[in-house]
Amino acid sequence: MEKGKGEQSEMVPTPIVEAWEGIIMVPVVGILDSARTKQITESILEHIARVKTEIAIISIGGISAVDTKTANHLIRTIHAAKLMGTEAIITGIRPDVAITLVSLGVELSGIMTFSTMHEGLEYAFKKLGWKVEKSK
Amino acid sequence: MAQKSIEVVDIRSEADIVGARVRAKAMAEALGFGYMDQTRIATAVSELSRNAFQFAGGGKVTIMPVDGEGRKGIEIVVEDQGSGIENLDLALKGGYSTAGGLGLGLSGSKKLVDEFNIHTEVGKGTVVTIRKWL
Amino acid sequence: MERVSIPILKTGDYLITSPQVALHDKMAVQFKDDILRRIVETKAKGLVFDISAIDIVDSFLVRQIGEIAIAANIMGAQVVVVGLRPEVAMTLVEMGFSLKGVHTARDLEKGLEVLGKTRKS
Repeated sequence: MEKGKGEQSEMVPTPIVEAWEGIIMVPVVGILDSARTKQITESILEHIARVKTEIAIISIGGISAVDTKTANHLIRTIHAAKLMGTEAIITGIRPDVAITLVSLGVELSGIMTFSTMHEGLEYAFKKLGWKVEKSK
Repeated sequence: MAQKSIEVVDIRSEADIVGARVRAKAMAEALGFGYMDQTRIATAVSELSRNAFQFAGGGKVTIMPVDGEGRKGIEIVVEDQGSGIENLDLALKGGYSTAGGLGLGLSGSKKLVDEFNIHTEVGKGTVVTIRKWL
Repeated sequence: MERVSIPILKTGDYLITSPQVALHDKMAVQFKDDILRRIVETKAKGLVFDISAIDIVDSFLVRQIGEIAIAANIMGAQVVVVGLRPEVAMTLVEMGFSLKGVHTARDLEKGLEVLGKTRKS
């Protein structure tokens, strides 16, 4: 196996996880370089073209580094998904990271972002009309 | 493997705009570009050839494979002999958008390619060269 | 040159159209006129414009769609564009084109749903 910068992106493509009716999860880990971002874009958009998807939860908590160019590409992917009828949200983005991205010129307006997967799931279920109840 | 040579499309009618973008897309595919990049390239060619047709009455589109610094790509040159673009800065910023879309297409296509070169001379015409690398 | 017309179907109060060929210039303008005429004739409340068969959408087509939407809105009809391909959606976003005044949805079914929801009774 090759070591080095592109290691993560050469190894395993980011999976599209069908989590619930109309909800997919995209767990992004490692280094988010342009090759990986391209793969994620195509995977997400191709999936939502094939399968009715109301919400795509893109979790980026596991990313070690991202540059503004890559962040912007991800944002554009989210806008493209919106045109195709899917709301893509981001989880794993802490408020201070969000502020840093915005100050770097990354356009986050109109995109739902959450610190935790929990919050993201809550949002998704609520939007789709699902209620989570604890049985006694 | 099919020979990938230079293709030239004369823009004389609206149908030629479609012809140019179809040929550009085909060559992009033959060169190994993915479908997303093929669409970016074809769309840029559509914008530039339409500009030539709309504002200069016609033009010439040349599509060819390129080699540069160890990487391969595609180069497309769209040239016309129209009256040139008076305010290039404005056009590139999309400022001519009210005048029928010259700005929109020009600034938009710039975002789809890796290299974008435009040379325009009032009274002489315009040459736009775009490149995308694999 | 023979005039090629693209079918515009009626379902209830809505019109549906799904061009299967590249809409180049004169044809696109004729198509736009056909649509607007049909909206007037049928007093349609909405139009679902299915572009799933279109592989390249450039500024010209975006402008046509925008003009259809503006004219349709004046006549009391909403326009929903559906079936954007991944590469079309991505290219539109990258070029910075906004489909303002036009709703978008995943497919025909969703498009009709959107029209039902935005309808003013």
